[in-house]
Amino acid sequence: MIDESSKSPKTNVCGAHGLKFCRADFILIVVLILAGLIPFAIGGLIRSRDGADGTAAVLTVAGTERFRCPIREEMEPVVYTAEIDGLEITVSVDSSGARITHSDCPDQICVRTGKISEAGQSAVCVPLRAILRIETDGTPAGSARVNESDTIDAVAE
Amino acid sequence: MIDKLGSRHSRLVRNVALICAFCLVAMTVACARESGAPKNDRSIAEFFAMNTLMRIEVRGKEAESAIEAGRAEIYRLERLFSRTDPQSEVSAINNAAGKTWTTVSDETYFLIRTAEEIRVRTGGAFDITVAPVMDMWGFTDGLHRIPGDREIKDVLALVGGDRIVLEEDGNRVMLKSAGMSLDLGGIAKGYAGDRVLSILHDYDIESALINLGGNISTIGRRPSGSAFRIAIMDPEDRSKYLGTLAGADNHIVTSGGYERFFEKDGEVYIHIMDPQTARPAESDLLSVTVVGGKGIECDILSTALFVMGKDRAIEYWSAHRNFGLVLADSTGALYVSEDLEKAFTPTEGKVVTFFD
Repeated sequence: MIDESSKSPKTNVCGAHGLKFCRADFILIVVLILAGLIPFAIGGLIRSRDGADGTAAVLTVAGTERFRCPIREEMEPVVYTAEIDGLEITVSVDSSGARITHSDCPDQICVRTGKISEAGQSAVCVPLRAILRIETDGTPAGSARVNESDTIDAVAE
Repeated sequence: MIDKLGSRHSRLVRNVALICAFCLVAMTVACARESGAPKNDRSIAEFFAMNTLMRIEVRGKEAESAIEAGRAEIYRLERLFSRTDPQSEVSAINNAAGKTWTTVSDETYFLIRTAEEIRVRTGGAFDITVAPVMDMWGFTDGLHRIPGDREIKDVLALVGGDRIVLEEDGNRVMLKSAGMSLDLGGIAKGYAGDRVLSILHDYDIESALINLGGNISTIGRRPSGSAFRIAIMDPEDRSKYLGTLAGADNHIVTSGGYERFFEKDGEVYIHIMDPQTARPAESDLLSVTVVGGKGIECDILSTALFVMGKDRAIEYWSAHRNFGLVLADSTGALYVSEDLEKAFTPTEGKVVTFFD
């Protein structure tokens, strides 16, 4: 009579045979699955921050993001004023889009741009180096969505 | 024996479960990297230069290097052509007005000579000596004002491309009278578009979309294979478009009085000056879009044809036919050259007349 266990010494600390699932295995699998879900959770948080479809009005000054506001179907208007070297620029965001309502720049081109609402549209204040832009989830900053037959790549103006 | 088989089965199930969980994590990380980070062959640069916002988007094996070379080229050209940079060649010419010759680079000489050639061809509708007029109306410093008739008469004595003296042997330039001044603002962005396209071609770039303050240039097509769609802004409502053009290795440049202007006592004064009257152009057009293979010519012609008005613009196109033209008149109607019939898609509701 030969004892099977004596032929194959147990090297696994889990379980009597070292081959069956043990608690540590289950924990490892659960941890791996949860780790895999983390990016999805982060994506969902970003989408909820930037409105239902990820649409947001974003103000950058000299390349630095100064203000981001999600655009939602039902929202109270939001007004934000940025100070840039002693000069001010004010943006207003509501459910229908965003616009620069005031700028201390001399030419006022940015204010005259009016409301922007579609992904890729922007209002630019050159003297203050400020860009107000509509961004949508998956839309590269500063451009309309590509690879879609009905979208605009750029605007001649 | 049964125990042995059961152990093997358990090991198999356990290993498969662990591998599946590992694969899920690996795939998720890979997907996140793919969607979140720019692809290796795509690069975008956005920066302020030449008093406007520039954007270059490039696809190709050397996209990163190509885009940096394009950006550096724009900064280099700005240093040559800027009227406000005291170190620029244009400033050197202006400071020597009425006094002495200035020796300039091949490029500065080329721009001035090209502007002069087109000034002659357009009957003086475009003139790079219009700078003192822009200053007088306050479009240079933003302090807008309406000058009197006497001032206008005086400033006209300082305007006229025929008073630029060019000496090709040695690239020498001189303005005949003190007070004269060159402004290459209506031509520099167009030339920059040409130079950036040339540089991107040197890097074998397959697809590029260049937006130099509203002057659009393209190389190739979208990654999907379809043509780039370039909209023309509606001068009466900047949130809308007149229509779209298919971009195909060309330049698309629009000029109009709807962006830079000021109002006083109910009157609108636009920034596009008629060099022959030293007053804002009284055009029956709201915007002019020129489509062509040379950015420098598109840039100059979009301004010149705006000043010339609808009938003369169409006459000019008929006489040359080496570019495409989209005119928007003050009634909202569009006039489009026949060569753009396939490339231009008007916005629904727009009345379009194709001319030949």
